[in-house]
Amino acid sequence: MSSLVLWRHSATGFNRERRLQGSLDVPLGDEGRAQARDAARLLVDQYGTDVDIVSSPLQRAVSSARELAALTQQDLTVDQAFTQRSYGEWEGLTHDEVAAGWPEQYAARQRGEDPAIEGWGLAADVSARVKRGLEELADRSRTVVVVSHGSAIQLGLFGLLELPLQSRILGRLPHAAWSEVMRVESGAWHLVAHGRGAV
Amino acid sequence: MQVYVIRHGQTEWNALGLLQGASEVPLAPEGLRQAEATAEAMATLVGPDVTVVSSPLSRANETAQALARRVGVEVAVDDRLRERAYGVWEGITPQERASKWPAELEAWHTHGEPNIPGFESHNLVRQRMIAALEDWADAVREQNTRGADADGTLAVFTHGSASRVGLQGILGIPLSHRTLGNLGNAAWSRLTRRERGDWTLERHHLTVETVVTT
Repeated sequence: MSSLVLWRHSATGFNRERRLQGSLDVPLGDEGRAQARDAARLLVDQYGTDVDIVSSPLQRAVSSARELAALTQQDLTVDQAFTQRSYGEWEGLTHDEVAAGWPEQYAARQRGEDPAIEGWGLAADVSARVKRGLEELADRSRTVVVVSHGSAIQLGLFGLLELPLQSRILGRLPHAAWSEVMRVESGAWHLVAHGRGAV
Repeated sequence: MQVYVIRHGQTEWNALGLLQGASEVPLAPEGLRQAEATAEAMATLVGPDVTVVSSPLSRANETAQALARRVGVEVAVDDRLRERAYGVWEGITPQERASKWPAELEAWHTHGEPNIPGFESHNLVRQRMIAALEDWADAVREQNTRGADADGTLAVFTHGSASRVGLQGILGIPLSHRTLGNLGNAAWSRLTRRERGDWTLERHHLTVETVVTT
């Protein structure tokens, strides 16, 4: 039985301004790095230093992952499977700007649906991509820490746990918090923990 | 509304790997320590207006008392929060279970229901846990006059199997497999409840060791 730890990157300046990032490559900044460092200490307390670290290619994830790599003295690999979903033409805008410019599509998004906007990463596609990436990591002998993004982790979890993609069963993972999933003998996944590292 | 579901601290039987179910087993010294540590961490999260409700079994009730004392409230008891009864499996060793009931054990490990005397079915546990959670959430909302955004906090102290079946039940997750892992001793989950039947699992299986306090 193998455990995967799904760790969300810590907060960027864009996150603090409530700007949508998606595929935009926004740097983490000093505050974000400090937040990642605090979480990394807790991760080491929980899982030890004998872990594999796999990150989304986006800087905010890689910089978070580096804090854990430094603390554990482990290498880190980058996997495209864990990149963030694209928010299309909304990337770089604040939630207020999106709500004002696209009221109907924004409301659809808030209900968990895919808005009909240019370039949007469809939930089903993102879920399948992340799920596939996670399943490829399932047979490793060590715990794997996957550093990824809010929507990507959420949709990947729904995929692994076979929950409806638009459900509100699971809350959003906070920045620098993590969930843990485990594949059991039957081949099914279960959610060991959700939102650790946050209150 | 925020609803916390907390499992009791460790007992002697937990340490030995024995099923407790309806049996009365008090907290071990380590369980009392866990209860206090969890209460300390949770006291600031739940605030002074929390409603604390517990299973009648002493291991849950003692864990609830640790939080109630800190925040200065009484513990209400609801029989529906008791642990699933394991019937003849309660208090016997895992080896005895395996040697006398191999087929039933296999059914249980694959999330089915073992046909042994006194085992309480998934459905009965699910129904009483959902009813208890929804009813207490309603009661807390009615007591609370601060409006919809802050309609109170509920802390429910219960057991390993009862909490997992209750969480999967209230979230509408089928019990055909173990989608959610069990809570460890003195660990908790947090849910948001909007309306009856409309719940979100915000946190699952947190312990004092997994919460960033800086």
